[in-house]
Amino acid sequence: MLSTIAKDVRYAVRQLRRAPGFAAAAVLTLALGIGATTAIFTLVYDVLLKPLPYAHPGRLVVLEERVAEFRDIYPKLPMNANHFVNWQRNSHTIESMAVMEEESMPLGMSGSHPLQVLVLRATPGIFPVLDAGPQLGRAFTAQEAQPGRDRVVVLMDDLWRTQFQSDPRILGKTITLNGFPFTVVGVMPRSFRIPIIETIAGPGSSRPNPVEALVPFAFSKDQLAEAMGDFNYFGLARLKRGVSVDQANGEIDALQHTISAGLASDEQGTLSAALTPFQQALVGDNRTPLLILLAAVAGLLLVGCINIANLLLARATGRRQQMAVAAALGASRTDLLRMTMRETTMLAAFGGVLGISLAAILVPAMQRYLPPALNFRGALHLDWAGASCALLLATAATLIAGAAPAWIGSRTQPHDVLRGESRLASESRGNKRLRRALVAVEVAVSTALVLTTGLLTASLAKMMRIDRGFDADRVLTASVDLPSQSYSNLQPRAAFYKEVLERLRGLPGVEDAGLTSQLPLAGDQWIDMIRVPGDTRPAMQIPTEHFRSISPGYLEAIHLPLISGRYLNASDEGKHYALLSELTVRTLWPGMNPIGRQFSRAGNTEAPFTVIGVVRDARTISLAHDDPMMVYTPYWYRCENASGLVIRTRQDPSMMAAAIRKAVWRVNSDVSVPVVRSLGGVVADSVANRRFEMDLLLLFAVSALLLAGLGVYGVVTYSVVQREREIGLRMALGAMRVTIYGMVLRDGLLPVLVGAAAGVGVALAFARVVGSLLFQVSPYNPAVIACAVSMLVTVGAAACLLPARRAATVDPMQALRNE
Amino acid sequence: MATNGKLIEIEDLTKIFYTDEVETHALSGIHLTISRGEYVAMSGPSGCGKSTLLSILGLLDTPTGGRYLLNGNPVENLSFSERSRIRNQEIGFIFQSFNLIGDLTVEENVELPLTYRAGMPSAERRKRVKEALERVNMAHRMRHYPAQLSGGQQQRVAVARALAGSPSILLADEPTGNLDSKNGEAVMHLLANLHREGSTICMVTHDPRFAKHAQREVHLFDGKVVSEDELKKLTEEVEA
Repeated sequence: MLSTIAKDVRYAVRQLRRAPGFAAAAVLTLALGIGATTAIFTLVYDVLLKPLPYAHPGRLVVLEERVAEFRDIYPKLPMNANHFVNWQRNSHTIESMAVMEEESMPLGMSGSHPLQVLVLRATPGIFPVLDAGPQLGRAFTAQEAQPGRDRVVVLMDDLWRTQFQSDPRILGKTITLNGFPFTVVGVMPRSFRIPIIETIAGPGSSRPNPVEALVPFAFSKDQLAEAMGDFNYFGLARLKRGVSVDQANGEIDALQHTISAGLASDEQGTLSAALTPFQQALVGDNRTPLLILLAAVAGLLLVGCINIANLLLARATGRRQQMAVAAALGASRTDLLRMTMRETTMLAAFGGVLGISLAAILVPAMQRYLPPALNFRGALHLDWAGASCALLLATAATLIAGAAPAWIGSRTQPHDVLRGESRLASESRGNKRLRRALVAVEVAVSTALVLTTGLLTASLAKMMRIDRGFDADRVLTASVDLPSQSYSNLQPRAAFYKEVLERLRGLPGVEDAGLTSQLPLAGDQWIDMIRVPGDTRPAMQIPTEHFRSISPGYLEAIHLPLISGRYLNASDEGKHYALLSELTVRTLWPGMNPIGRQFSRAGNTEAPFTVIGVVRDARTISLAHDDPMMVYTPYWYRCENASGLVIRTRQDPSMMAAAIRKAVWRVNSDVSVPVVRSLGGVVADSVANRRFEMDLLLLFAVSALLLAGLGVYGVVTYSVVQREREIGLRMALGAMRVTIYGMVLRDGLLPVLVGAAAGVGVALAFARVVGSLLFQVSPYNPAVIACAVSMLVTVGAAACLLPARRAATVDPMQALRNE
Repeated sequence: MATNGKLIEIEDLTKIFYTDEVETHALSGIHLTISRGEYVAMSGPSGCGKSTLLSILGLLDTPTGGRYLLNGNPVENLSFSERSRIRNQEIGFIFQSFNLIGDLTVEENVELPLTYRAGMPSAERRKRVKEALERVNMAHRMRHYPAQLSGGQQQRVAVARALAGSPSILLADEPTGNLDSKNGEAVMHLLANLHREGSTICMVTHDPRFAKHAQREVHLFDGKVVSEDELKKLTEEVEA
């Protein structure tokens, strides 16, 4: 047995060495196909299938709430502290639960600027929920999750190593976080990973660094008293053993109904619960695009295999004599099958090994371009799952590429071949049909891929070209984080921002500068309800608006057009003025002039706001949707420690990053400016997922197009070589060169056209799946379909031209002499 | 131009093949005339230039020097497309190995040269195909593929293909070379019948038995036309 295998390997290597060009092309095609598919499979496995790195991850669920009255704008909401405490106290299906929020805080560093670190503020349940404990010290206790007792911190291993030199005596020491002293009580193990929670909380949000410390979440009295607002906290729970998500959801729903029943009449809302398996929540909307990517790259591999099958088929035809001799000498059909498969198996083995090596390079390279939503597990690496995938692919490639040649080889009739077969000047009909069918299949796969990519490209292009209502050109943005200790009140915060804005406006090259609580397309933070005088409906029935705190200059800096009234200016300071979007005005005062009218935040007794201007409806929350009702209030009314600066420049904004940081630090050098980037970059980031998936698809589609072209070229060239005598004969009988050109083009393009039509059919069959990812582009878009088909036909025609030229220059005398 | 019944006139025709530094004189100063309705056999030992001459006669190749008049028109310097047109309309080829196209039926094979004639209606093509196949007694196999026919039948189909375009001359290159003696004789009888019906035929053969079927025999040796006696003498010299 072993000696037979060794002999087969020797023969196969010898065969491949005799055709080094073919062997190299086939191995490279397989390696690229297997490598790319393995890399994408690794990503898909990592995101969709691989269990999360926590004990019994299937029992982890994300806790969210539903408020029936908000379902049109927010089908699901993060958790409210009041409801969380209720659930924690009364649930019997949940083993442990926690709520958390992330906050960027300055870590005091002796003698230099503070280091901005991402801190997770979590209730103590985080440790039992994730079934994790510190490697050093202890976790924080329930008592420490009380206001005034919450200045304890558990460091993540990385921060402990890099900033505290792995000091084992760190426990009990005090560090400065957010300007406050915190006592280190523990250090988490290196293997512990905090799940990314921002990706669930809001669209487009991203964080540059992982969480580096945990502090207790101590709810304030106000937070605990708020029964129908403040839906701001990410909730995570571990179900009791044997409890299903549906059972737990049912129980929490019942608790929600009890809470609803106890709400004040002004806050009456219909509450329910939404428990989602953690992994499913992390994957979110990325499931379909990832599966499309996997299908696309597998399609690419299929196209590659078909190309190899065609080449092998050509070789098998050329080796009929050898096979016939073997058959005449007594080789069984199995022997013949083995003879034909050994070459394919060897190719697949080489391709598989190279493919795994390629995947090992591609996986980390791909990670660099992963959007945050797909990058929630940390380092991607090729593991046993990827290697198994590569092995499976190599086996599949062997079967796909080798099946047809093996079938033909094993059916060799020795008497036909050895007696010289017939004297006919043509390729056999069966072979021709098989080769055409293979070309049609690869063209169909390529067409479906090109068409899908075309639709997604058109969709993204449309999204990027859509009228956003604001102008991102020459606009720079900077996020600032004020330390809580020095800026715990509105007044110092507003004073700081005012001074920074004055300094920024004074910089040479700055046209305008402003402040906003949330940069355009970087998520959403503050949603509230407003009441106009005379509206006596309960709070839950009045409209919900999205608020932005802005400074004078912000709307001007992003060129958000004014429809009526005026923008804010410095002389308005201290006044309760507001600007509204057109939609807000149409909803609150349909057909009326809103300027000078007043409104209040629901449930608030402070002075009402006076409308001074109306601005255009824009797309500042998501490019895919028109903004909901927007309200712009002045920063002197409310502003947070974390805000965004927007600076319109007269020159290339990238030159100004350093000047902006300096301007901020001149006001206070302890303030962190973690990110400075162009508004165009922020806009691009908001579609990072789509772009990443589209870029990969584009790469696969172009590769498939090239492979299909090569496939057509190979088949037509082979056919021309096989038909040289036939072509010579036709010319001898009077065929003009143009007739031969036409014949070769027609023969070559027929399977291309059939394949293209089938590919369109396949793509249309999956239109609903692709359609769910499209923006203002129909999956049946005739222009994109026509474009994809034209591309395939053009590539097919181009691939036919060279062999057609060769055919047209066949010397009839030479061809007929070579009989 | 008046032709005086002469279909082919060749004067001082030469063909030289150049390979690297070697010059091979395949044909040297050939003079040959073939009249309409004539049946000429060209014979000679291997490598004497028979097939080269036939290729030039069939406009598959061009001479290096000399004149070639077909139907009184000079054809030695025509363009590729002009030669294609003349081949299609004036010349019918019969090859040693039949050269039928495997995935075309008998009918389609015979129709092939007619499809290269611009403007010939399909009804006319079908009529000619049927007539040609009837002349070779193969009309009953119209729907068959070549692989379903014997060698002799395949060659009869090839003859029908040559006849279908009503050419001025049939050029046959060893038409019996791939046939057994019985089928070979049958094809020779077929050619003789066609000649009796008025066809002009030029056949290359190395078999003296088949050459005897022709009206006139042209002997070639070392690229030159020689008499039968000269051929014998030269052959004996070579063998000696």
